[in-house]
Amino acid sequence: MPGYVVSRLLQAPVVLFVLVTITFFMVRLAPGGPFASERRLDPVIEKALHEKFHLDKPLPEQYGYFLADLLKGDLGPSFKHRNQSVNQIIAATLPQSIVLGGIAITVALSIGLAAGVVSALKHNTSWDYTAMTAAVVGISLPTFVIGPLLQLQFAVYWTWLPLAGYEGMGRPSYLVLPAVTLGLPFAARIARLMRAGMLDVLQQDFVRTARARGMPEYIVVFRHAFRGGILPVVSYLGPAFTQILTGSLVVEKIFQIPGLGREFVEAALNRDYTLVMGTVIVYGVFVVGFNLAADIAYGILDPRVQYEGA
Amino acid sequence: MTGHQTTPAHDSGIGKGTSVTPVKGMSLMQVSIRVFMRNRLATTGLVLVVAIVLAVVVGPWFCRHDPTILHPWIGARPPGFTHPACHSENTFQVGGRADLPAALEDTSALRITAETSTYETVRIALRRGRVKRISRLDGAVALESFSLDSESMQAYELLENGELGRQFSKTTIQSGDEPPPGMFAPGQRVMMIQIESPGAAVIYDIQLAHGTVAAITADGESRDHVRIAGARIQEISADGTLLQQRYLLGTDELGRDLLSRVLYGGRISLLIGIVATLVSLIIGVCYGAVSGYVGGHVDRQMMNIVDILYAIPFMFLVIILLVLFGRNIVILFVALGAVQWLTMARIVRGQVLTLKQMAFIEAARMSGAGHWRIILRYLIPNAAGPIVIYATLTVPLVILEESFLAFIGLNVQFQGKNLDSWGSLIQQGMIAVGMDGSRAWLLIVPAVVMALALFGLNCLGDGLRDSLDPRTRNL
Amino acid sequence: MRLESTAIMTIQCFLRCLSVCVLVSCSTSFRTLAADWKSALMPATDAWKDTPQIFTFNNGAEPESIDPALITGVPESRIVNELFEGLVTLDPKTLEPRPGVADRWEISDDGLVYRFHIRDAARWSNGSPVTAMDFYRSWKRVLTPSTGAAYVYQLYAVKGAAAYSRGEISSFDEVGISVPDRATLRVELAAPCTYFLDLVAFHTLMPVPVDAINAHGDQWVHPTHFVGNGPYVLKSWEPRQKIELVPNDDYWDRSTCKLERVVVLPYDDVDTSYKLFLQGKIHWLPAIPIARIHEVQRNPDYYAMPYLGTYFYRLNVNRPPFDDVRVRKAFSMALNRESITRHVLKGGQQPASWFCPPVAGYEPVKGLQYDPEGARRLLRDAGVDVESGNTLRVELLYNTSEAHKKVAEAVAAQWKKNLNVTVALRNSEWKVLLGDMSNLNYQIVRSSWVGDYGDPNTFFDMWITGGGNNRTGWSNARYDALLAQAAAERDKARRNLLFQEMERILVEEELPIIPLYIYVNQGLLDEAVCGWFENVRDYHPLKYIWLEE
Repeated sequence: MPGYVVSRLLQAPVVLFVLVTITFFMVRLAPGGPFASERRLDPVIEKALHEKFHLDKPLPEQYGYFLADLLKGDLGPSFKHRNQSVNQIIAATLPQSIVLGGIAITVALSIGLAAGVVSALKHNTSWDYTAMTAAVVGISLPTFVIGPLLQLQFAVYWTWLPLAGYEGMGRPSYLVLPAVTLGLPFAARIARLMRAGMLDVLQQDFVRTARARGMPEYIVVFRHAFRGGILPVVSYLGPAFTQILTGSLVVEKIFQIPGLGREFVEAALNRDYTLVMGTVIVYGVFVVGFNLAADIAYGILDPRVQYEGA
Repeated sequence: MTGHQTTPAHDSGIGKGTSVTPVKGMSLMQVSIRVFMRNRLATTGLVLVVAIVLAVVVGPWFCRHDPTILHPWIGARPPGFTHPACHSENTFQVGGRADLPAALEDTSALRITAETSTYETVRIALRRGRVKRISRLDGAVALESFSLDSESMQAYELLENGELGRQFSKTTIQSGDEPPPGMFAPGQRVMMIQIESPGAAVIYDIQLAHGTVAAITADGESRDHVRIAGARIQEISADGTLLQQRYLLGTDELGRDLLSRVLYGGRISLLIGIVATLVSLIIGVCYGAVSGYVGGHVDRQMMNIVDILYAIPFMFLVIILLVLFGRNIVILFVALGAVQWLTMARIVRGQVLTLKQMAFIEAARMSGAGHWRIILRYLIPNAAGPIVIYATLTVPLVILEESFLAFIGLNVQFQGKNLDSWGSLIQQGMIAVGMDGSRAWLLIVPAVVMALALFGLNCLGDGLRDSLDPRTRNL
Repeated sequence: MRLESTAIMTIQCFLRCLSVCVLVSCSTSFRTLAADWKSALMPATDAWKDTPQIFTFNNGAEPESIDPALITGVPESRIVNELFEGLVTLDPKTLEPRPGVADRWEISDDGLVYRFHIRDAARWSNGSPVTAMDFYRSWKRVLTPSTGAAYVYQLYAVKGAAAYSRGEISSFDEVGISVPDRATLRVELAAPCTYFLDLVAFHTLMPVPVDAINAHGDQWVHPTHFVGNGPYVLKSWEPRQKIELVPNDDYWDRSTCKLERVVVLPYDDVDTSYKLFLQGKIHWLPAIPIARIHEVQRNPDYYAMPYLGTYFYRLNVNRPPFDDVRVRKAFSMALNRESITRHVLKGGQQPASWFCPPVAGYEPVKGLQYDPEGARRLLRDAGVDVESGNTLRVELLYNTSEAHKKVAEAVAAQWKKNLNVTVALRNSEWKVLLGDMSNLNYQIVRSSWVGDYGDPNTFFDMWITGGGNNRTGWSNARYDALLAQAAAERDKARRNLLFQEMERILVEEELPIIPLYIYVNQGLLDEAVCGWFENVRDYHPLKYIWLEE
């Protein structure tokens, strides 16, 4: 087990390096420069800007500059936001994204696990059917349909919650709708996984034995079935996290949350090379880290798993 | 998606599900079909999928509207709307082809009634009881004053539902002054006034011979050439029968038929879903099969790579790819397929690991079959069940991903046409729906159809999995 | 269906409305601070004092910078125009030049030398006086290539400026900017420029705190370091959340600033900000959800006003089929522009078969009118078989946006119908499109142009042979000659005739472009907002705005 963790930890930088390299060359080889504009720049100015951002150098050399800065933790200046560095932009937008994603995962887990457990325990009852049909509907509805519908209902017709915007962590009401929108499809998936996992466990011999020995039902459910049933959910958390990050691109736009997702899309559209790189690196670190954490958690929860070199 | 077992967690595939009670005298396939048919959600899904696929594939041939033809003057109209079958502009020249959407080969007399009234909409906004702004809706310039003094003009209040309200008599409204008493209701701050100067309708009689114009008369006067704007046409009849276009699901803002747009959009969404799934299938099956078949150290390394790739945020790379290299549909197929192959590879590898222990593989090997032959001829066909199931579940995922891309503005194009998939139709509908729910059909129709399709595909996939292979349902 | 030749409406004609938009007479030799123009902009009573003066508007984007020398976009200029003030400002009603940091100025009789006298009370927000030296150093900074000022050419009217910026002369002393004393800035132009005062009011020529910039580098715009000389100062800047402005207590005209706090939101989603406007959370929304225009027009707070900008298509004259002028003409004549503005855009845009909007007394020529039969005839003359299908295929390139897409689809449908031409639509990202446009890698490309200043020249000098903004491959010796002639001409009427001649070449004879319509600005403005005036530049200084319930 420790060996496995160490090898995964060693792999992580390699993954990141590959990701960063692919992105770097993809972005630079694409048509359309960062300084193209409706009013064509005076060639002198364009040249000066290219020199400033090292764009006049050959690609490998640019890559060298980039890596050297990266090792120092400096993601460089933004091409578009001329008075801000990429580090500053990320520092300003990342917290919102983390909070939003965190709440969304919490929402997804609490709704999903509850629904999954209930439908597994009430297998083949109307509870089960309702929950599972709702779950299929949930995974069939795109976020960008759910979001505006919630907006209309809760912010426009009922005015219970703010429509959009962000007023800092002191006003969490601004994050309720976005987090629910982001979390619901994952709640649906988690509910399905949880139900399937629990049903599996509940049919196994050791649970039958436990029941036969007269163990109280809540102990059977929570000590055995829950622990076994949650495994598929845990292994889903890694991919889910990636998908939540992706989903936040849309949700941040609909709800005008100043997060990293919007920054990423805009940076790509604007050929803001450094900002694209910066956002991809940050996302990469999170995704890799979270997947690793989910894997380790899986190992701890599932004694059957044998890791390499353990 | 259990991550990193070196031994497969489930040791067998088809027919060993504990929830299935085998009935004597039935083949595994029969059992599976029976289980599937008993699953109400699954059968609903099957029916939905078949219906939608049929509608989308066959429907456009029966639907006479071309989704790309614009009728801008019609604008967004609710389901069931009908109007005379004509173009934005209809030209008739003696000796030329009659220019109407309908086929007129058998028609000998065409009669078009066109109005000559002119309309003008003037908007008056008040601010604190005084006229703040008078402007014509088709010209952004503010007017100093607006006066209605001609007998030949009639002015009506244009109500929100498009109907005409009160008629106004002679009035003058001056910018900055108070409006004439009684004109505005208390609390009302804006008013649209429609000014009409009525003109008699003109009747064009067009003689046709095999679709070619033989003679034209306008109100009895002979002409050799006429051009009639679609917006003015009140009625067209061919040999006495009205020529009308009906829009079953209404039109969008450019007057395009929504039904045909949804059908064509479905073709695109399904096409992307299926092709990208096939791409993922090809990559995933080859990779998984090789990994499982070779086994040992190679297998461990290959699965390690899959684990690593799982941790790469692929959608971000897809977005960068599409943004940077254009929204080519081929890029989209490959990119979305490349996102989805990982899980497929794991499933196939698990299956192959199990199957290759079996006797018939051993037999094949003994009979001298090569590695590739064994993989392609024996292993993959025997793993087909889980592959098909997972593919069924991948299609809705890909459709959802494409719609996500369309929503953030990365809808695909192909050969100079904008391919409006369901995702882009929903996105366009969403911004068109009024705050009061007006024009709701523009959002509801594509959203419901897409949700039904995805719901159907998901139910179908679930049902197949439960009946064919209950042990893989964790995937 | 436009009402024609009827006298039922007294219309303040479109042309006249636009023509009030500028200009300065060259013979002005001395200008004193006349207060009367200003009194028309002030509240008549004190009733406004009962309303809290907190003004919120949606700027539509996170500003890329607030450095006057660097910015290029409208959202940025809305903020920069408040944080800094040039020698001259514009009248929000008439767009005429009004005293800014300079309380008066003199222009030599030959129109070549301007002397600006800086008012004593002009202060930076840190209390230090604004001097002529500040302008000297700021303009030098703009002309230094490493600054990267995109709008550097706004200074090219000044003698030696272009040469200095391009490195052809190395000494800044040779540039026509000098400081006879700390309150006087003397500017010598390369050639008479009738609109130079308009340029001086532009943000590129505003003063910047060069010392602060040297001390803090790129970070000088952050609220802690920020120093400005405009009516408002930066109170806070929460990236992507909001920017807050408060009055600059050191500003020479502090008493005119009535708003006590201004909240600038960067929301880019028009739908969301529209909903926020309806909830009363935003006072001014300078954009509308165009798909809901019918609904928005029913809102009493809706406004639409002409804008100094043209929407048009560029044609690549180096590539078939548009290397043939008859084909170019045919494509322009086959367009029913009114059908597009009326049914597709619906916002009161002016259909235009000409390129330059009416500005500064300039009246555009008519251009080629809609004539599908004539267009087909021209196309036949050019050897295109119009009757049988699929003989001509062209590609129309536009940048991704719902509005451009709608227009392109409508245009393609008309060409298909009227010319039997198949138009393939290709959309790409803005930056890719710009690259393709510059490399002449297109057949037809969507374009737009917004005037940098209130003079027709801003619409005509771009079409000079080899000009950076030409991007059509088009070149015409007579046009270039006329342009040079207009640059030397100081008589307004004669100058406008020259521009008309150029426009005739552009839209009636040669057609490297197909104009479509003149822009309008549409938006929503709360009833409580006063002192906000309509103008073709969408220029609304906060200094004159107040709230009154």
